[in-house]
Amino acid sequence: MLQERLGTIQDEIYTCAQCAYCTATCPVAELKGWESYGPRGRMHLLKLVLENDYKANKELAERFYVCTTCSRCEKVCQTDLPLIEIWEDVRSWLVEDNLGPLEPHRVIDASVAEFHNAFREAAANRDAWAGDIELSRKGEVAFFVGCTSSYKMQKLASDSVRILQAIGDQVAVLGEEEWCCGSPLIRTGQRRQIKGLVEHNVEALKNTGAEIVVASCTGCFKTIRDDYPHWYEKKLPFKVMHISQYLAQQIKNGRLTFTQPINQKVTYHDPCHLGLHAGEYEDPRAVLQAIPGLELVEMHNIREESRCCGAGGGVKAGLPDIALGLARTRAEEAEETGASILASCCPFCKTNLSQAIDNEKINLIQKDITELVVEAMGI
Amino acid sequence: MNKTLIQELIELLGPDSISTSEIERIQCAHDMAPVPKLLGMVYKSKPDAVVRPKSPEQLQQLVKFAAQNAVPLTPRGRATTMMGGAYPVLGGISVDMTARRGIIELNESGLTVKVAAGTNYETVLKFLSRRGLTLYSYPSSAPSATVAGWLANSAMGMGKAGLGIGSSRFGYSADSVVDLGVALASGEYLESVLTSGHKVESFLGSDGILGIIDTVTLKVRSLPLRQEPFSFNFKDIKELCAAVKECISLKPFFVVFEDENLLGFKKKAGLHIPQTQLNRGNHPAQNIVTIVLEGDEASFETDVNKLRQIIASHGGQELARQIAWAEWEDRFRAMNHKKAGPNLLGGEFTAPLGQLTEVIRLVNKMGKAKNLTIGIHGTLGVKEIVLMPQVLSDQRKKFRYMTMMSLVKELNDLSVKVGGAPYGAGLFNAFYAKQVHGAKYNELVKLKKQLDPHNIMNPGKGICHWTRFRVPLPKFAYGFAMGGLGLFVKHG
Ligand SMILES: Cc1cc2nc3c(=O)[nH]c(=O)nc-3n(C[C@H](O)[C@H](O)[C@H](O)COP(=O)(O)OP(=O)(O)OC[C@H]3O[C@@H](n4cnc5c(N)ncnc54)[C@H](O)[C@@H]3O)c2cc1C
Ligand code: SF4
Ligand code: SF4
Repeated sequence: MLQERLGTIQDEIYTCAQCAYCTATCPVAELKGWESYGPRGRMHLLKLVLENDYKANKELAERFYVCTTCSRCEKVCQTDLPLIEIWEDVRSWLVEDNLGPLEPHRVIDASVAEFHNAFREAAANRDAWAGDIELSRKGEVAFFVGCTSSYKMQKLASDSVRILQAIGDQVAVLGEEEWCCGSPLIRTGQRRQIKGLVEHNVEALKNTGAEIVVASCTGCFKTIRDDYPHWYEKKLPFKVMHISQYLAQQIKNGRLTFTQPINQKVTYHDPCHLGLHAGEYEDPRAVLQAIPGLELVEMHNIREESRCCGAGGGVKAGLPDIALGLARTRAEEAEETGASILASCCPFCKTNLSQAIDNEKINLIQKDITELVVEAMGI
Repeated sequence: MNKTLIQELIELLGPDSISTSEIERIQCAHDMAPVPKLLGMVYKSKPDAVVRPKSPEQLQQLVKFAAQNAVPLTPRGRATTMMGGAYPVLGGISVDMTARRGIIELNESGLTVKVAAGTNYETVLKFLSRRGLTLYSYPSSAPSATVAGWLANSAMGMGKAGLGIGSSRFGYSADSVVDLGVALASGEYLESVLTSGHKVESFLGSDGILGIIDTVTLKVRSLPLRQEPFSFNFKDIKELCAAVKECISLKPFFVVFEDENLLGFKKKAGLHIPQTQLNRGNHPAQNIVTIVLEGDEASFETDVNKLRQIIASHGGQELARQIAWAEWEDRFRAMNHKKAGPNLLGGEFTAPLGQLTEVIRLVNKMGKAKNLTIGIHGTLGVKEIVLMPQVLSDQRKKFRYMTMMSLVKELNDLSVKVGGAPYGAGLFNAFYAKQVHGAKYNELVKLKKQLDPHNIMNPGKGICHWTRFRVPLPKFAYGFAMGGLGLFVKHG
């Protein structure tokens, strides 16, 4: 029962000062307006449920699923509450009470159980993105492709591996042995399969012999780096890096150089899982700034104050209108900079921002950093 | 409100601007201070509907409707106050003003900015700083507090409104207001109060009982050339008080201090306590004051030297500059030690600056007599000091928590005794309305009768304390109840 479970976080619930710093910064609260959609409103609901003054119901559950888990609220909370942990725990308790998740999330859970990916695609086609790229199962660097790049945004996968191979890395990919990282399930409170997924993927990655695991999806990156150690119950036997971090390192040590200028104004969107969650703001910018001719122009809300693209936390699948509403605001902010390219480095951000750009006929092209790196390397 | 009225309102405003769902109404039935259920039962604090006006036209339609149907309206900003002003006592409509947000117009030559009422201070500050400008004053709840919420809140009373960051140099929050757009209880919408024949100051610091503020025009100024914080430690709080009194001559931008009990709460909350370097060792600071000075190059350096002299003459010790910057950066996190409670219970009141040492002595005496550790947080106002004496408490321990609420009244009474007043009336401090509004009290009562004869604007607050039964609660009943609870505090 949610009420009983809330007893375990009652200190946090009573610590909440109801100061609304979180709500004033929450992009969803801004979009929806009504107090119950914002983080302060949700903390209040938890207190009411705990004190038996409100009974948890589907309406309450929806308020918890509207959150993109971007973590802006946690960054400003003046009592330092672990809000993301609270949002994800409460979702898992709603699942236990059969009040969550939203229907599209259940479909993902079933798909991962049956096909080991989020899209009901055949596991045997995990490598289909590679085309004529030669793949290896062993290497010093393992590239964790991710479900979205494997099946839906295959250029992101092929660009990433082409870059790594071009700089001379021995790159391993897991093929059929790569299972969904678990991110869409953890974010939506569906925890029944997580332990199995984590153990499988860690073993598979270990078997590649790689010391470094690189991901170009920030969801996979954050999940493996931050969530896996908890579920694996041990230190991971490899280092986890986002591809932007890895490439910035290679630029620094001279292994990655650019030959083709990109004479464009580019603005950069910090993906939440890389920026707000992992605190990585510099490396993606360093990669962009190393490209000759490229002029980086910044939006108002960047780094710790960056705004979510709207796709995270299961919102793109569960509440697509909200996801698009948030993306519109972000794309408009990008347009104000006068840039012609909106760069980012996450397939979720790319999908959502590109859709908003198309729908609103915004004069911008969305590109992943790897796409720009491929162009600048001339490969 | 009955169903027919609610249906009429939905038709009038459109379904997007009104909610009657339980999940939304319960959100508007409280502010930051938890009120024990038993006490809460005497108010109908849950509104019948919540309305979020999106335009001046919608606000006007709403107020006309309320006037015609005698429905109480309770304006609500971010509800970051603690005196019950922002939630209803008679039900009716909670008017959530946060949909009225955004910068309306910047007049760079006239140095004014016009903003919508529900815009938060941080948004305004960021907008201005990108243009080399800033505000004269803002509350230390700037990340969430709305502009109209701070200006409407009765903290220092009608015509003065609040004290915040910048007040010790530039005055009360009302001092930088040029004009307002206000919806009156009659349904009339004054686009400019200034040119309407009414006085702008009437709507500032009057708890929203005269009208709903829709737009605010504020004076702005250039960002100062230098603005820097300095932190000092004092072994003896009396010396700290003496230094604070003296440094008012430097017109500091901000002065905030915390006594050793408050630092103890921080420690209990697991927060880092600034260290002093004495006798080559690190020691936790005892009583800290942070003073922010500003000015042009020459005046700034002179003032810094004077400040250091004042501090030294009172035996204060300067803390490392990075500590001062960290304290300044934490200016919006006055409640970061709350987890040590998890509740903080206490008072917020003003006292004449000259009484600072005495009032701290009295608070500490009260703590001793009641066997309570009272932590003190203070900020410098214009010619007064704002004190927030607080104790750690836990609302889960229901009886103890309720008895401890008597402390709030005792602290309020103490402020009156030393020539100060509780910081704002709202609902719970409306018993002190005469002290809060001072000489303006009679004018406010008169204006209320004139402008809101049917009493629909935030009824039961500000100048009187109503219960859900539409009867004012007399001050003696409050004193009696609190006195009774207080009997249980010692050794509780
Ligand atoms: C961490 C913290 C720091 C704080 N620091 C300060 C400080 O430095 N100085 C200070 O004075 N206070 C301070 N406060 C108290 C409070 O935040 C401020 O008074 C604040 O500005 C209130 O703004 P709000 O939008 O939350 O108003 P609310 O609490 O929503 O409303 C306050 C009052 O104004 C009325 N009201 C709201 N909007 C309107 C409107 N549009 N028209 C008419 N009436 C309206 C309400 O009915 C209510 O009576 C602090 C609070 C916190 C939590
Ligand atoms: S994580 Fe982001 S979307 Fe969710 S409540 Fe916090 S700020 Fe809002
Ligand atoms: S910022 Fe933190 S303390 Fe303030 S309302 Fe939000 S969760 Fe509560």
